[in-house]
Amino acid sequence: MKRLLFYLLLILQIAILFLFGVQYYFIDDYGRTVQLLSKHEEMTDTYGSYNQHTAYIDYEINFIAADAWEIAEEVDYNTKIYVLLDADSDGVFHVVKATDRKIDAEQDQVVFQGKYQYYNDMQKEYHVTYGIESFHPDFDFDHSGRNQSRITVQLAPWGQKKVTHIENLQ
Amino acid sequence: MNKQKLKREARAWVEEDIISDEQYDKIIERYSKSGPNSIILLFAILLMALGFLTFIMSDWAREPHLSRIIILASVTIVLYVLGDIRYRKSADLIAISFTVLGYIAFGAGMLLAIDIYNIQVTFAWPFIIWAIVGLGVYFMYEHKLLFSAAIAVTTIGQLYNASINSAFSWILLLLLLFGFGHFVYHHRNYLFSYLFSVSFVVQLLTLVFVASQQYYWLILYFLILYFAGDLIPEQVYRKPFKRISLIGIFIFGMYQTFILQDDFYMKDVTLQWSFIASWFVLFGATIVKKIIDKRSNQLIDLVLFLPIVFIPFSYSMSLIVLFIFALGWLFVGYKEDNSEYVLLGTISFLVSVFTVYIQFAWDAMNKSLFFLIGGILLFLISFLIEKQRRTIIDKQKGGE
Repeated sequence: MKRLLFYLLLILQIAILFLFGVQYYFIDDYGRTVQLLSKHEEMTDTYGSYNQHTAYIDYEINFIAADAWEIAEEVDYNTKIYVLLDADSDGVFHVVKATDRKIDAEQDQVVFQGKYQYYNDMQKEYHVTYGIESFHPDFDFDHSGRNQSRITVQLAPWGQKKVTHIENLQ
Repeated sequence: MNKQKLKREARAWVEEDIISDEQYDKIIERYSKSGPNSIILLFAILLMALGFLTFIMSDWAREPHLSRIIILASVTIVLYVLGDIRYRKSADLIAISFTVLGYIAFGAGMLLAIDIYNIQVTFAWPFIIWAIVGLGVYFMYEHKLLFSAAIAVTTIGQLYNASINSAFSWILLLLLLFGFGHFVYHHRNYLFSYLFSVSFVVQLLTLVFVASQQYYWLILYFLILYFAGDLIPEQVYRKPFKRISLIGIFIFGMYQTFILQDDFYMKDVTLQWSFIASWFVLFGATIVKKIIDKRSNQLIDLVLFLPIVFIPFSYSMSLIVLFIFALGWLFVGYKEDNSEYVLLGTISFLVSVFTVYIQFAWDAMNKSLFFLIGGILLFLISFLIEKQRRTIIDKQKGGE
């Protein structure tokens, strides 16, 4: 019995490791394309050493205006936030509303799950992160540009998000 | 225990016809597994595990490419298979070391995959998987090193989840209670009971912080562990549960003396009836259990579990409670001539004195004088404890 368990457990562990890797490549095929804008000009850049490409992006959807914020009471740092996004005529998604409950999306909408960070009293904005603000890009992009960029994100049905393209807007 | 000493003793038992020759062999064999070599192996495992974990943070490894996963998966396979082959030949520590390393390599691979593929972790699932795998591996080889590694993963996972997601993972707690608890119960081992209690305390401490519970809920959690120790008659569970619980509640008591004089903090502390109700039931049950078991001198322990935050003069009461506990044990210890109780009383008395010293002297005294006298006080404490320890050893020798 334990002999069999050994093989089962070993196969399970290897399968889990590969599942993590393979799902990453499947996102491209099965994911839904969502285009987002970066927040400010001059904000898209990569840091870190040459080998270790890490990109940091501030998205427009990280900053949610107070009138789109549909949570009455004060929330704690890192609370789960569901953000409803809606596409404009160019196919770029913008924030419609943010709640702390699960919401359903219509045809041209998606729901992103994020974490609440802080409230900016000056700008009257809530800051929410989605886990795609820093990542290791596996594609080349022009990070010398100082303009606002349009970022293509694939949203997988199993909830993972992956940045696949960054384009500088002139 | 020293193996030479054991051999000598066991030989004497054989000669006195207490045990047979076969039993002698079996006893010696039982203790032959761990030698001085085992410490070297333990360090080898630690170093290699650190090697894996630092490898996944290197620049070279952090590239989103499937080759990185293949490397870690192959390392995992090789280590597990080597461990298994060796285990079937001779079930020794080397075989277990390979398996432990395989287990850690798997976890390292999982963490690396999460990092390079930017997988969004919204709750503690990587650690839940890692802990369940750990339980499975322990079930196969039943070695305490595997148990320790798996329970460490569970506890660290809880802390990690608290820091990353600011959330408490109930699944990890349930895994501890029913998964690890199952083996703690069936495999009767002091180490397991200690690890279980420590993990329990750490996880519930996390719960109080993460769920922003009122701090006094900790009293209830420590009391649960204490009462569990009282309920089970076997020493192998009772002693570790109660010891860890008492250490926890004593440190909590010391901490409480500091926050009770902090008006800013105490402003937020409000009374919750759910706490009072559950505390009352559990506290009553503990008292009844003590009286039924005729261990009423242990009622002294319970003084630490009083929710003094709700009574008037709580600040001075918080200090008084520590002294009642210490002096109570000193008194019982001298009355019953039990040196272990005396030691418990002495240590807690001295620690209480030190707590009071910090409270009163920090504001009132010149800082250099504070440190100087504090140092002298610590010297005295260590001197007294050492003296106490020696009398215990002398007594034990005299008793032989």
